[in-house]
Amino acid sequence: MPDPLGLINPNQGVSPLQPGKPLAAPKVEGPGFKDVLMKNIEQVSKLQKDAEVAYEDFATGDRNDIDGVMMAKQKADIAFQMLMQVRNKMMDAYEEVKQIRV
Amino acid sequence: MIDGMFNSGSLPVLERVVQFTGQRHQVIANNIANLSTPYFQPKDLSVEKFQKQLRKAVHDRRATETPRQGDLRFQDTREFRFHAHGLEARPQELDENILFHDRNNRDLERIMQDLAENTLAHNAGLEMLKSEFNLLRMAIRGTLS
Repeated sequence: MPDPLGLINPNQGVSPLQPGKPLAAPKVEGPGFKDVLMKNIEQVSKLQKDAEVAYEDFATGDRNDIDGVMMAKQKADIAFQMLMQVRNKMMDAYEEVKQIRV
Repeated sequence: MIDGMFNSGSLPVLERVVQFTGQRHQVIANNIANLSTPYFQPKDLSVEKFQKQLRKAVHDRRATETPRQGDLRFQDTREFRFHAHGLEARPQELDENILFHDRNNRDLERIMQDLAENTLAHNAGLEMLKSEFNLLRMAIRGTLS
């Protein structure tokens, strides 16, 4: 059947694959995924360190604001859970990509 | 590996706190039981002295190369002996209260206040310990909660 609207055009938009020639990596702006991940890991680590220090200070009587201590701990825990969940989803995505047959 | 898991962070500190509050609870309960015993002198464990020892141990550990890991090193005093498995405490007699005619210097209000404070501290310590273990469990299982 003819193509009255001209929608079907094999040479439009997609460049034909040329064997032996690697695809050029697209240019991206901003920091890479690895940098973002590492930054967040550092952040979580710092939050956890702060929470530990807060616990120790509370136990030794150096500080007695239990609200601040609990707040620091909860923040650290939630941040850690978030990071862990990001990691879980990332591993899921990797597993899915691994299943693709080429 | 396993030792490092339990010897790091605030876990050993909180363990000592719970040990101390547990011991102090026994002492206070003993005071209440002997409220009308002639010649009985109420005893208590000094929170300030315990915290001083704990603070010294924590600060010593912070001064080492691994500030958040390793055993806490305590110095035994007349009142407290820190064993690996527990805390041995010697309650000191309180002698600042009014001496009654039966030679008992009880002070019910003070005992009740100590009991309430100690219970709060014990519960807070347990809560913190629980959250620490929960975090470890979460990290090991790799799933939430």
